[in-house]
Parts: sequence; C-alpha cells; structure tokens
Amino acid sequence: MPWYLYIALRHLFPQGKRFPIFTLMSLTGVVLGVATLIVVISVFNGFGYEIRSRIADTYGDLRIVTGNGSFLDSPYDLSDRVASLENVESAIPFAHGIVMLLYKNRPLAPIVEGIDTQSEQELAKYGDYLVAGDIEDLDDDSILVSSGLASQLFLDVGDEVELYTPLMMLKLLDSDGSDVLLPRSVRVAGIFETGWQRVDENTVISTLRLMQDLYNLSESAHGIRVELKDGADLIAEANALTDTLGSPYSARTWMDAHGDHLAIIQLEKRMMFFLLFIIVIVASFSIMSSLLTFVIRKTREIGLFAAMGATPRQLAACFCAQGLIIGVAGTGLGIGLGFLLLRFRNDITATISEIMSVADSMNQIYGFSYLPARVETFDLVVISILSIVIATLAGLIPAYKASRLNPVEALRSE
Amino acid sequence: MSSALIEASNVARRFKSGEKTIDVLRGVSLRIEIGDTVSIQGESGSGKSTLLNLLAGLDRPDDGLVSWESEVVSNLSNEVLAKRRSRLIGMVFQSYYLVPEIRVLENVMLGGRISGNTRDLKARAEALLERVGLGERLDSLPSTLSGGERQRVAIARALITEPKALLADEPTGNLDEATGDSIMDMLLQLCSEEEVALVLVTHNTEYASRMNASWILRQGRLEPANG
Repeated sequence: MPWYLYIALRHLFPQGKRFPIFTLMSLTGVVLGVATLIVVISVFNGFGYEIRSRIADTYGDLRIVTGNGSFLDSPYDLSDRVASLENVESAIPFAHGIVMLLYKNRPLAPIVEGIDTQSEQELAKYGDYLVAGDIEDLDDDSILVSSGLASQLFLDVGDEVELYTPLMMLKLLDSDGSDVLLPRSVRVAGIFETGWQRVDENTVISTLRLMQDLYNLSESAHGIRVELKDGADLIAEANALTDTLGSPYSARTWMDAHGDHLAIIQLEKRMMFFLLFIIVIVASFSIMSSLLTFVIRKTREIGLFAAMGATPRQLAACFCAQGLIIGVAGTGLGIGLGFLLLRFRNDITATISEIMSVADSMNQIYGFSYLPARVETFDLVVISILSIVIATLAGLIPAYKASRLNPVEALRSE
Repeated sequence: MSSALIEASNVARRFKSGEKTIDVLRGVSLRIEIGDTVSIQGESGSGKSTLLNLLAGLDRPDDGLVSWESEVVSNLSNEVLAKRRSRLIGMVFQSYYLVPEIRVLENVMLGGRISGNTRDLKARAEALLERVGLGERLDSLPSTLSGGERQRVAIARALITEPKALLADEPTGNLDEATGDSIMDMLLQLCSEEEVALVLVTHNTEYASRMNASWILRQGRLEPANG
C-alpha cells in the first residue's frame, strides 16, 4: 500500500485509539445522507412498482380496442390470434362499463370489469386478492366486489344486490312509460382488495358472460386484454400490435390510461433525489471543514513528510484519500443502514402512525395499506458513485492546501 | 579533489520582515564529503537551521548554489527534489515529529515507505530499533515514550532510508544532559558504522567539538569554530 494511503487510513483510524470524533462526524453525515436517499428513492420505486403490478393485474399490459368505438364481434378469434404472437403471454376478451348497484336502497355506481372465467391465470390473479369468499363461486349470477364498495354498502359474501345498466335507463326513456325496469339480481361471491385505492374503492368483477348480458353485447366484447412476457418492451409491442392487426384495431398501454399517476411518482422521485442529495453535499462540507482543520493541525507532520522526501502530489493524495475513504466507508455504511431501515420500514411507519394517531392516513392518501419499497441497482450505483465523488472532491481543497505548504514554514509552525 | 556529497557555494538567503530585509546568510560555502561529521553553531537566529534547510533542499537560496553529488539542485522542481532528497538525506529534528497515530515500528518503516526503499523494510526497521535500544518497544505508540526514546525512533526513521548524509537540527535540544549525551553517542556511532555524513546544528560546544569540522555562523557568514 502506498505510504500516503496508509497514513490517510491511520489519520482516520489511529492505532490503539478509540474512533476519533473527526472521522465519526464526517462519516455520520455521509451515512445519513446515503441511507436517507436509498430509503426515499426505494420507497418511490416501490410505489411505482406496486402501482404497475396492480395496473397490470387489473388493466393488463395492453388493451386492444377498436379505434371507432365499435365492439369486437368475434373476440375469441382475435384473442387467439394475439395470443399466438411472440411476446404475448396471454390475451383474453373483456367488457367493462358502469352500472348502478343497489343494496337495501343504497345506490352506488361502480365500474364493472367482465373477465373470462375460462382463463385460470385470470382467475388466480383475483383469487390472490380475495379477502372473503371463494373465486370458484364466481359464476354468471354472482360478482366480486371491492373492499371499499363492500364497506360502504355493508355488503358481505352471499348478499344479493341489484344491478341497473345505462342500457336499462335508455330503454326506459324510450318507452312510453308502460315498461317496468327490472334489475339483474346477483349474489356477492367474494370481496377483494388489491391494495390500490383507485381499484379497491369502487370496482366490481363479473364474468364476461354477465357483462355481455348487462350491456346487451351478445357474443361481442369491448376489447382484448393482453399480458406480455417478462422483459418485453411495452410501447414497442403496442406499436407492433397496432401495425400487425391493422385498422380498426389499436393497442393502448396501461400508461395511456394510468400513466399520469406514475409520471407524478417519477417526478416526485427525481425531485426528492435532488433535494435529499443536498444532505450529502452538506456532509461533504463537513468533511472539507474537518480536513482543513486537520491540515492545520498536522502542518508540522506535513513538513516532516516533505523533509522525508514526500512529493507535493503524494501529500495531496494523502488528504484526498481521506475524503475518498470517508466517502467509500460512509456510502457502504449508509447502504447498510438504508437496507436496515427498509427492512423494518413497515414497523417504523406503523409506530409513527400510532404515535401520531394517523394509522389509516397512508391508505387514504397513497392507496396502500403498507409502505412499498423496491431497491433498484441503477439507483444504488448512482447514489454510491455521486456520494463517493462528492466526498472525494471535498478532500481536494484541503489536499491542495497541504501540497502547497512550504516545508520549512510547516516545520516551524506552532 | 573528489566530488562533494553536499555542497553549498556562496549561498545567500534573505527574509522580509515588514519593510526590512534581513540577510540571514551572506555568501556561505560549505562542503560535506562522505563520512564527514560537521557541526554548525551559532546564536539563536543566526541562520543555522536556514543553512541546514538549504543543504537539505527544503528551502532555496536567493543567491548561490546547492549541489548534491555534483548536481545543482537549487533549480530542480519540488517533485524531483523530494525524490532525490529521500534517497540521499535523512533528517532529525529537535521536536522528533513522530506520527502519533501509528506505532513505533510503523513510524520507522514510514521513512522507507516514503523514500520507496522498501526492501526488507520491516526486518531493517526492527534491526535499527534494536540498535537504538528500542527492540522491546516496537508496538508502543509514540505518546507512551520518553523524549529520549522518541528521538531514538526519529534517528532510526532517518537511517531506514540508508541515506548518505544525516542532517540533525539540535537533536538534543529538548533532552536533559544525560539523555542528550547518550543520544549523541548513539548518533555518532551509527553514522560511523553506516558511513553516513553527519551535519549537526547545535548550541552545545562539547558535541560540536566531537565532529571532524566545526563551524560557527556569525552575521550570516560561516567561520571555523576553532579559528
């Protein structure tokens, strides 16, 4: 090991002594900055990832619809054709729309998503989100209701509810008043909760057949829901599908429908990154200030090194290396602390919420009942490199000062 | 005449003090051969340390030349000068200047590391510390040593680079008489055994008298001490 690196290490971690306060304070700044950055950025990643997963589960990666608003007359022919394409995992017809749901004279207007119960993959997805009931009980005379809807109407599994569709209303308007509006009675087969407030608040899942009956679609569907294989490029595949299928079909990505939510999270993530990076910059000033003090304290030692044959570059390297070592050690420890905080994030947030009596606020505001987090390697690399570079730069001014010291004056200094 | 190890030719050094310019050295010439022992005496502020720093290449003369082994070094860059110095000259100071964060053995090895003379470094450092009587204190921190012991470590550190000349600036200045005597005995013995030239800056006339040549700095000029 070059002598200047050895001395840099020994200045920071002296032999036979306790951890020096200078090293401790400088390290703490970097550790806290890096840990905070990792926790916050990972939580933003988690929000984005969870929202993507839920959208993918409830919306699909892509939806193929007609550009002119007409229905798909032979949806299974089209879905089979799409499913046979290279990067497509599955393709199933869907129908969706708004209904009025009435229970004990309390009306609500949820969105109904009609799914193909022949698709085991599709059923399993909703089965995972069920909090009451059994997915196997879902048939053409039953529905799954979201947890928010169930709690608003005090619904339970087995309750009978009535559904009115906009078509029924139109039929009533067109009649001369002699028609009687007959709702469709269905049973609640299950209650689901995805963890995403937007879906959990006001959604009903039915079979495709029931939705076709309600909307008088016969064998038609509103579109094809497509799941892509892992790693497939969403936008490229959407464009390819639109080109392959030709007019009047077009493929819409989930981002077209819900991208605004993710765009906000991405923007917030970037803003938080720059705001929190200020902590690392403040820490670098602390390192610089400590190292400058250290250069003054060690002036005679620097003079000695020069007398022993140390070159100005080696003297500069000695102090620059101290910034580098603090940067590397602080970043390493910061990553460790960040992971530790992420590991216990839900316990920490639960405790804070309990103390502040805002236990349900996260669910209400963010739409998640827990704090999601996802560590991205790219973020870790960017945070690590920037922190180490900033800490090393903080050592440059003290290093320059040390290298410019006149050996004779340095040796004479008191 | 053989080439000198270190030679100062008519060197002058001036310092500014406010509006005044003080001529500390006025045309000093000094020649040091291999194995020489030379003392430089003088009153406080007479320029002894300034001359030593010029000989060591730590400072540059305003006039005149300093050369090492016939090569003029006054005009060399700091980088080149530092490298040459580390191989040719060892220095010992009144205040020892040990690095407090590292143990005795590491302090001695540091001299070798800086000069790049790392061949059998640990073994040589241990042997040198044994010779200066500190074979049992290899793992001690400098703060646990007495003044005399610290100076012994500093001497071992200066000799680890296997220099051709040792420049000592009042090495006994901070020590009591008995300890100073033992340090001087040791210094002379080691320099003799290693064939290292010794330039000693001292106030002590007895120590000065033990050198081959003794000089006194008066009013910026070097005069023979016994002249």
